[in-house]
Amino acid sequence: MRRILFAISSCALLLVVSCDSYLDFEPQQSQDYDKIFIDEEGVRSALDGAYSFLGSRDFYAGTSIFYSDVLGENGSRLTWTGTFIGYKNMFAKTLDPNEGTISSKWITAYRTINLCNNILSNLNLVSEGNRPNIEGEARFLRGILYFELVRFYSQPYGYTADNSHAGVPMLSSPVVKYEDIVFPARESVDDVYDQIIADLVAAKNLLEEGRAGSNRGLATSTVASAFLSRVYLSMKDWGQAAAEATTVINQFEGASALNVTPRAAYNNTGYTTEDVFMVRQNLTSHAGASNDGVGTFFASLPGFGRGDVQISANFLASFEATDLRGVLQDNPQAKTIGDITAMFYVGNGTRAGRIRSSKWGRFDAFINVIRIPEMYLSRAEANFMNGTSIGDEPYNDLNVIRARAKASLLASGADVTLDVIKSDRIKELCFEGHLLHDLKRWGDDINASHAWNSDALVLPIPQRELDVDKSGLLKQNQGY
Amino acid sequence: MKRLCVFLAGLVLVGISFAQAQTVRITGTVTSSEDGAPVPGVSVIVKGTTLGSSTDIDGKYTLNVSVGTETLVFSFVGLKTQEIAVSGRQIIDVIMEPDSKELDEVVVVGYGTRLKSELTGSVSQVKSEDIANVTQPSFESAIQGKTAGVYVQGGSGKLGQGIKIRVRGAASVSASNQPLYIVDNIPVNTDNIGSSGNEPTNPMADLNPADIESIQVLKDASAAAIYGARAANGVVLITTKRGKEGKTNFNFTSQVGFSEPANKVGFLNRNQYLQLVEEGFNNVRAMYGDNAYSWLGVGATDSWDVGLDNLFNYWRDPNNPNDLTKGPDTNWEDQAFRRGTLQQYDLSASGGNNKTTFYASLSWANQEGIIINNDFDRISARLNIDQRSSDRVSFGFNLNPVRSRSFRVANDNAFASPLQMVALPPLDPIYLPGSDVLNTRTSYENGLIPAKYNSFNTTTYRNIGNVYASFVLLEGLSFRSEVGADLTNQHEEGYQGRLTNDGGPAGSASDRNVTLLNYTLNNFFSYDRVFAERFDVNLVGGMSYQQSDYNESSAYGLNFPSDHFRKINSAAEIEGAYSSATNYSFLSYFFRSNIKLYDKYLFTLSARADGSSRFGKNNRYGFFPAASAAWILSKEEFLSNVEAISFLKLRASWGVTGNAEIGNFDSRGLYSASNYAGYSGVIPVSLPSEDLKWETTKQVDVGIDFGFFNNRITGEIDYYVKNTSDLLLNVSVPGTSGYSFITKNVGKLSNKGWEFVINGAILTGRLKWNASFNISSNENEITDLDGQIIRSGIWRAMEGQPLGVFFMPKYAGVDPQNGDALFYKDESRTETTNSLSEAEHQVVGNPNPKFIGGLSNNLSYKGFDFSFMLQFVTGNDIYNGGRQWQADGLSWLDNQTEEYFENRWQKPGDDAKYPQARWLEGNGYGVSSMLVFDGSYLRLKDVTLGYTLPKRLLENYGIATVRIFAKGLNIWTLTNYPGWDPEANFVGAGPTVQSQNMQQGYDFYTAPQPRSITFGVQLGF
Repeated sequence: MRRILFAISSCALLLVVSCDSYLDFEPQQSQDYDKIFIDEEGVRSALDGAYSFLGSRDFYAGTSIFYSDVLGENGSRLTWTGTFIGYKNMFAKTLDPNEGTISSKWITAYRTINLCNNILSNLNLVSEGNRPNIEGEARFLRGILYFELVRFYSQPYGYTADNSHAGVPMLSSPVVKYEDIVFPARESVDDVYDQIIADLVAAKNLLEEGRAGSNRGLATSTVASAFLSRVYLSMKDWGQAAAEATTVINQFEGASALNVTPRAAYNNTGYTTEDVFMVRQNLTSHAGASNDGVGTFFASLPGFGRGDVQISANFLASFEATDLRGVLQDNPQAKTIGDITAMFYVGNGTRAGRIRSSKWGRFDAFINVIRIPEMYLSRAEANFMNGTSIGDEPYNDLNVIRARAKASLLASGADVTLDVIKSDRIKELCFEGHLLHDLKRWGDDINASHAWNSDALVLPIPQRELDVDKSGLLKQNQGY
Repeated sequence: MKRLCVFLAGLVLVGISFAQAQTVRITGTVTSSEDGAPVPGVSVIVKGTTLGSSTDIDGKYTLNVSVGTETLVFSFVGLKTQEIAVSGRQIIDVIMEPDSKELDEVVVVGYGTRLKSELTGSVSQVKSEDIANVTQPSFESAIQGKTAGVYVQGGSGKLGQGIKIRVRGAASVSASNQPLYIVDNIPVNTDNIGSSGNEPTNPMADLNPADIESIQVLKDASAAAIYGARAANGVVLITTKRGKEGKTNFNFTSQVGFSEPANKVGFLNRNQYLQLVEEGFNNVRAMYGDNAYSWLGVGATDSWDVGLDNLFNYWRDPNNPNDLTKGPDTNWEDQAFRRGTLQQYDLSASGGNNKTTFYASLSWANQEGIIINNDFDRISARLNIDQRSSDRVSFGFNLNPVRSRSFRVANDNAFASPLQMVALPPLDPIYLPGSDVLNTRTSYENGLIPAKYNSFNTTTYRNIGNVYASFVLLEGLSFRSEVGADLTNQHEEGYQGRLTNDGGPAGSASDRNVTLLNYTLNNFFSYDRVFAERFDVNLVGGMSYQQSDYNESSAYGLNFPSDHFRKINSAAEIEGAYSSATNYSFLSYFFRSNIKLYDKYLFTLSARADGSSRFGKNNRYGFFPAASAAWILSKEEFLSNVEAISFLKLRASWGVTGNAEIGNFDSRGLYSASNYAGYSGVIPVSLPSEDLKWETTKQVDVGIDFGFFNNRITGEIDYYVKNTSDLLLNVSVPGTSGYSFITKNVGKLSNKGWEFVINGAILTGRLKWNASFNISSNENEITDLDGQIIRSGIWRAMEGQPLGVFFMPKYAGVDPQNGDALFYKDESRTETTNSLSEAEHQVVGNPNPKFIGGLSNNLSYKGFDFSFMLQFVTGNDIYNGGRQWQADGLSWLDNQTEEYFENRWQKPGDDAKYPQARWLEGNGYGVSSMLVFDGSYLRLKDVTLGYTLPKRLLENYGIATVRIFAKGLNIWTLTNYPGWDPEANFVGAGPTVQSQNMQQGYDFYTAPQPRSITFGVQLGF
């Protein structure tokens, strides 16, 4: 009896002696901030983490593409027929500041920017030899995300003469703890563009040249130039846009970089020769296979795609008969996008029988962000608008793309008009997220009720941000 | 805290030095006052201990007690509990009197028991009779409507789905609002551990309801504070059956039955659908001109059916292509449902001798649900053993191995979910014309394809068991030590076939394993003593340590040779493979004293100190005190002459309880790994919150317990105010910070309400009629959120409003002139607009009920018994998200409800409920209060008719009792709600704790509760 009691009591005693150690557990799938930023390895892994956001549905594998193509659409190329109310509203140009993907894009962008700021403030942990790379990549990511934000959440560059209209908030220092949080106002579009250019130029100078494909898909000086070309084009800084495009084209050794057929660029699990920048996707890491991700909405294949984006027959009719980019394939036996060799196909999955684009037919394929043809088309437009021929004559540049597509060639510079440039650009780059920004740059109205500078074509600042804002400095866009 | 440790250790040591005493044997016979017959199975316990015995078949008992034992407690269900002073006697015979209302039942409280009459806190209880023969997978539905202040809401009619329980309202915004569950003194896991790809399941479905002896719900702070940091949502104590000394009783119950949906909504048939298309087509042309459908390839002179040709496959009859009344006419709603079946067999044995008692059971329950492809199956065994090895030492154990299997369907918000088939227009045929091949070219996914080829099977192996030993250290002082473990292994296997949207083109499979070990060590002393016959003291003090270890691994594969192969082994590609683990712990010290003076003044003081691994490093321990008092007026002289009043007690309590149900590491500033398609990086996931601590709820409760006319009428009235402060809140931060929220202790909310229970023995003669009615109200209000608004979809937490109000444009009805949907422009609700985007969002509904309650009736006459139970919920609103498509005037292809069809605007002057139909165009059909409905209902939840065969017929067969019965569940419902079932709560796949708190009253293609009829036989040997 005594012995039993003694045993029990000792057990109880043992337990109470070392009270606190029983309450200490470490998370096994995560780690404290101050154990990450301790060495170069930690900084590098944070940088890879920042890249991982690029592949989310909030950017190039998702809304970067269809926000632009759906919001900028008037029904002549595609129709949104899906059930997701947010995108349905986007097609109808009746955006809701409460809509989930609109706030998610905002939050993820700043989440990535804050991570970049954390990396930049910890560069002292990085060896001198690797510092330019890490700094360059972090500034590259920050630059392209500010560009993404300002293009969607603000009126375009040039909306006011001095670009004093509201851009987006910018954060220069990292948030590590609650006390670091500030409630910033929106900077002017002019200031945001200054920051974008500063970041991308820095990236261009810090990073080495090279095709991203050979460098595991991360930023290089060449990729930074390609984005700079985009930025300058949107600013109508034609000279710089053409110059940066030329830099990229030269580093890709010109037209030889083009794939043999237009279709070859899409649905690949890696870079093709004409890809300047792609976001990585694979089976385990992708933007979504059933409710999210660009492929989900475009495709209608057995077992893949919601068939939410339907292509209009009129759009197909706008291609020349020989143009490989306008071919429609009807293959009811197709199992995967690999069985489709044309750029368009008759869907045989969800809502079968409608025309679909074959650009996005897998959830695990890399997503094209910048291809060499864009550089040619941008250069042609910039030179044409500027009356210059930096790199090459516009009609040569257009013909490079036409030749590959087996479309008729332009005979001379006299055939080049802005309409031709616009039409060539849409035929080549359709459904890749260019439409809305191109129309705004061209000053082309989307339809009778939505001019290029209509309030309805600018995403609202997410309502949650306005609700959270304690300073009252954050202002909603007009029209919401 | 260190001091407490030392104090407790000291107590343990002191305990060792006392260990000698003399024993004496007490015997006696217990008889009934009604007929003088011996009463078997009466529990005889030395007061304040667990030491005891029970009477045998002849009503006799023997008990070895230590010298100086003062009081024995005799109790039996249905009879008045008696406390008999020993006064040195060795033979004590007792005559038990029937207790019409059993006011003096023994009630389980934390770490001990009390007599109901001596409770100073608020405790609801449900006994085994009310839980017996439950045919739903888990017991919670059996307490629905029977416990005042406890709101039980089934999530859906799918089997084994999560059930929402709120004890006196929701006390938190971001931390869990589910009560703490304790099974035989051991906290058990009630959190969903299923895949985040589907809705939460209910882990309590692993517990066989037939094994439950009683359920107590500790509601006020005085009762619950002994569970400290986790008691703010109330505590549900479940006690399983134990054996009693006497001959072995065998019980066998068999039940079989069938079920069907409690309601069907009714969708348009082909002709109605075509009529609506034509009408909507003409409406749009009238508005926008003859070219309105040119985008669909419909020319200005084409008729409306050309549009259908361009949208639908196979909608015309190939033999009569021009006769539109001849094409397919599919009732897709019927395809989603089926007649379910259920069968359940329970076998139990209990008994024992004066040393050893046991309860053993074996049970098999099998159900085919009302939704196609949805089944549940559970095999459960239990062995509870108690051994008295000497007068001072007893020990025992519980073992409860269970295997439950759930065959599940996709979550409600997935095309693969059977009920989403109602979206399919009747024009879509089930099969490809002229074949028996399922139509793969329907407007949305043909739900019969996933139903045929998909599977999602969850197999759970679980054992909730414990071992205890109890020692009497000296007179009145005992020590109990127990170790319990809740060990769950859950295996989920999913397969999605090659023809389905989710599984194509070559099949996809998932395999997921979770092991959860949740173990608890309790060590505590109890001291029970009566001084000078008028000063009763009962003290409990001790410690408890709980640790939870969670391990998960999963693998996902793609590309199978055929749908026959469903294991990852056969996959050509591995889509992903994962493993993860997490832990938490609580280390707690508790103390309680109950004091009774002069048999009528009762005082309870309790306190608990809880340390948790979840709290921030600056706030590891919390302290939770409570105090309460009660006054039994009926024992005062001035009332002793009032015949009508047989019992009257006033009670009041105050106390502090906590809520610690947050993530295990919410206080840390963490980075997690993030895979960039082959490259692993880290990304920030949370900001540090080092001061994070428990949420604090202070509750005041005042109540009256009464019994009139020899306790023929009894009841309880309670009023409570529960104020929660330091809310564990996901505080929104600007997205520009790189984060969207931080968990901090910010904000306050309150719950207050009334509870009223009245029980009556209406007839007591040969025809007996007992009735019990309860009604309770709760008013929930968020009083302080530091100015912020917490949103979760359309649900909001905002100051001055109850939790989870619906926030959206307010629908103002239909413009009688043109059929436009109208909305109020702003909250003043004066001006209207026909543009949804111009309408200001505002509070348009409240999902929290105003009143809940129920009425139970039990009648018996000779061998017949009849019972029925009505349950009601009123004043809550439901947001029916599915009606954005089910009643949207054919804005798209989805089939429409008949109720919409009958109430739509058609011509100028119509005073219609719903706007004009405009085919493939909007007309204000979107998220607005057009989708919000009153969710009040009154339901005939349970009706049972039974007949017990007369004993004389059975005597020769060795059978003690035979009862046959028929039982109906959810037979009738009174409601104005136009959806399937007002008892619906879709929380989404893989919801967060906060989203589950906020997204209340959400119906999204959510399956109705089953209506079932069961026939059963109960045999006793």
